[in-house]
Amino acid sequence: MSTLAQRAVASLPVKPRLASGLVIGGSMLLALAAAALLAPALSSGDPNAQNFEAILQAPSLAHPFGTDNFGRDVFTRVLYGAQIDLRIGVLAIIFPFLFGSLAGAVAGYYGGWVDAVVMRTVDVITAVPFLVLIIAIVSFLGSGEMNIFLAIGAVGWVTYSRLVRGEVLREKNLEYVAAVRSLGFPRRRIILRHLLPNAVAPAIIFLASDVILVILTTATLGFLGLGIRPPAPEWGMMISEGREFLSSGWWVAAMPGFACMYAGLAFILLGDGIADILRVRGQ
Amino acid sequence: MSGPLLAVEDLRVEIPTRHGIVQAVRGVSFTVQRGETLALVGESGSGKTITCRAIVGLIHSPGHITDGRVLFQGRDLVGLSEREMEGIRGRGIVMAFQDPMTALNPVLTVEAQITEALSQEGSAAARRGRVLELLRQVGIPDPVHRLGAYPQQLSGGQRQRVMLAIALARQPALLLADEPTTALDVTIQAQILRLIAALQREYGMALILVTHDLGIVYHMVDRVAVMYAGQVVELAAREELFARPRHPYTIGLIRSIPSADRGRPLIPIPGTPPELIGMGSGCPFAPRCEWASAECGRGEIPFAPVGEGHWSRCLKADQLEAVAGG
Amino acid sequence: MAEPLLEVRDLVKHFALPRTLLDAAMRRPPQKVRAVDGVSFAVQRGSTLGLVGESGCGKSTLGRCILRLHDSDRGEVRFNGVDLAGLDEGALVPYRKRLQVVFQDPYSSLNPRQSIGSTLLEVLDVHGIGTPAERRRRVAQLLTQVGLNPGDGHKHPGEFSGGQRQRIGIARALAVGPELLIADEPLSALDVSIQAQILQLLLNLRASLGLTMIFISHDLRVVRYLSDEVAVMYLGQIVEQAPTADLFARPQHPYTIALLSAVPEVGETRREQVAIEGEPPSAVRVPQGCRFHPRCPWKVERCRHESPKLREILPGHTVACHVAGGGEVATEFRPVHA
Repeated sequence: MSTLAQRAVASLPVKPRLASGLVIGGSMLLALAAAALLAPALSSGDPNAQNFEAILQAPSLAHPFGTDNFGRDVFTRVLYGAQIDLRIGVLAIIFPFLFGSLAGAVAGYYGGWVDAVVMRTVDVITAVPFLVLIIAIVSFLGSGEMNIFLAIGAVGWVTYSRLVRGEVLREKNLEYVAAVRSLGFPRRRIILRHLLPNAVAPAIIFLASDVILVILTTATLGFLGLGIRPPAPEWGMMISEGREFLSSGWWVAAMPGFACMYAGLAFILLGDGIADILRVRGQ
Repeated sequence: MSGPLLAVEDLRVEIPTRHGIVQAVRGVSFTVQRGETLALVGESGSGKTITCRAIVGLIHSPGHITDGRVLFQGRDLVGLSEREMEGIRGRGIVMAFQDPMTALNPVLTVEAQITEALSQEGSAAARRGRVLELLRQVGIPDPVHRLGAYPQQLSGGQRQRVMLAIALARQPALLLADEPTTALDVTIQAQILRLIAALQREYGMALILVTHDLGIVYHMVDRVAVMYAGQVVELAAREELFARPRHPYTIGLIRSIPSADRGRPLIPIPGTPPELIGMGSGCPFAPRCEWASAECGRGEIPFAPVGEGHWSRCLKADQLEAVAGG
Repeated sequence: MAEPLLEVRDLVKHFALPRTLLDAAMRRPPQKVRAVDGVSFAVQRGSTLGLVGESGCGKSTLGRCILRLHDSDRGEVRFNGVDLAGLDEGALVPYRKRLQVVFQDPYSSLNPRQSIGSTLLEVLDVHGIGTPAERRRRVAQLLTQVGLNPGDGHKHPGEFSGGQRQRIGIARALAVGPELLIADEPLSALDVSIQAQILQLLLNLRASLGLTMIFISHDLRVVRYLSDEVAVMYLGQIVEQAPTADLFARPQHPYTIALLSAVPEVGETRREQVAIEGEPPSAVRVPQGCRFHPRCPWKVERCRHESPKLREILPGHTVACHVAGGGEVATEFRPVHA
């Protein structure tokens, strides 16, 4: 689009409209969260109840997602698994987001050796493939939810710091920052109320998709036998265990797989919706 | 060959966007004779750049020319294939863009970019000679050592000169210069304008100079086309335009220039230019015009002659005769 | 004569260029951009000083040093007798209300995420001006004063045009009731017809509020219209300063003469064109002697070695040039007379 048309479009006031991504993604997530919370009511109540009379049964009215090789109801396990995976996904990103954004903002604003220290650390961590690092840490620490949090906390913050630092570098030279400095605004106010809100948008948008990355990482760890210990109904573990039965009972692996896809789609749509909202009116 | 070198007839360009169709150019007509200099004056949104791009066939989808003709040496350029246009660009018509930093390729040397513009016949040595000659002509000092330079290593003025060298490589008949000096300091601007005028004389080239600076217009051009909201609202010889402006927008522009006499009040044009989406009928300048009346809001205002070689798109052009210009 | 509202003395600001690790290891001193290299001038209360020059002359850096957006290396900035350059951040706060600035780019000079009403309110808030009720009234008043609709306070900058945003920037600067306004190229990013509107606004505000102004611009036509006195800068120094009419009628410095001759004007018979070739040298490698001498058509031997000081040639009219005003005589030099 030529600059003329760009200006013509940019000068139009944007009517506030509810981002469809936000609505759809949000609803999907709410549904999933509700299902997870209401798992005891919605399902048979015990994800670990074995029943050797009903091994590898195809999906039916009694067992909407079928049963696995231990006769456990897959539907129940998927719902209880949602509790685990959602919890991990959401909790695991809190520290990376907060720490990473702050580190990035500080590095960007102060520059100099502070920036050098932070960014070289980021570079070192980034040099090793994410999954390899996570696997290494979890192998070292042992499996379990807490260790997953630790591993992701140690590694996952770097992307946020890069994103926020980039924005801060760009923003701090803009004239509105010079303007509020010349108006004598205290530095804390400038960073917290002016720079950060304008710099953190990409980090928030990334947050939405980072949740699903964490879920997938957890699932991968489970797949590799490193994550949540069985018999916990974590989706990754379920997929891993269900591998053997692809021909005799495809639903054992497929259902948790679909659950992952559903959650992923929900988060990505949500992220798009947030991006729309955060896009400033007129930009 | 008789007849004007370039004749633009009722050109219309539309650009569909998410918010509606932008009518960027709404019926632009003017001619340029061989060797003549025409100024295309207007502010942002007037359509002057898009008009130039339409002439050289650089309107990208989804924008497109919806109507009108662009007759170059008698041949209509609208609707020509890209291949046919490539034959005309460079030798017939060239365009020099506003911002040399983005118009030059940062990963190619000066020599490479100018050579690209030359015809590929003859030996490499002959081409290099021509490149050096061009660099000398555009006033680049010590051209031999500049051949291997990259655009980022040059100053703004030098980049503009390189861009002119590229434009002139094949001695075109018509140069479209889009705000060639807007991004430059005033002393460098003077240098570049002098250069363009000299090159024009040397090559017998016609020039369409797109600018918003009436000062430059006053000293450099033969005729002036004033554009507003996608239309030419006034067209006249330079002296005539400044002595007897016959469109309220032109008068407004002239009055907007702070005069040397500090006692003389500045009379800004009130309001802002219109959105180019969903334009209704009637004169687009009417909301800002002190002479407007009810009839100005209705129908298409004709582009009518108001004097010898002087045209205006205003119903009140006769009333304006009494208003002193300049 | 009364004490000037603002007096700058021998202000110097150099920026160090980043060095490579090797250079740092070998202790080579960093190269410096000598952005402001010894500038002195005074502005009387109620008058407007125009600061002109081309890119790289240091005029914007000078403005920022006065505002303490940069810390200058040496020199004084005396506002009402008090040296601002010597104050720490805390002591500076009350002065922030008395000197304000309007910036060039209307698209980046406002926080895009804050409504304009909130932006203006925050200024009043931080400075504790008035009660909350009074502040809301003041915001509406400010918007009206700059020609905007007072009901538009809830809108964000993106919903306004460039000219309107510039008005908001002016409103923000005026919110604290400053005595001195520094306008750093406030018109350069605007269309011609909008420039005239904002220029008119500045004129009216200046008259009604009794503002003292420093108007920084490369556009000589606007500076001439607005300023009482003009200072011409080249490569970090003032080369000529005079009352406006005098500077334009009787420019003395070769650079000023060339600059004025390069400005295309409507309607006037053209000044004799003085062509200076070449580009301004970088502020890193400043020429020896007179900074302008490599490009000067009238230089003499002395210009190569000795840097000229500002001296008064005509009443109120100072020039830094060996040749101007009958100093060293060059064969063809003749300052232009009206």
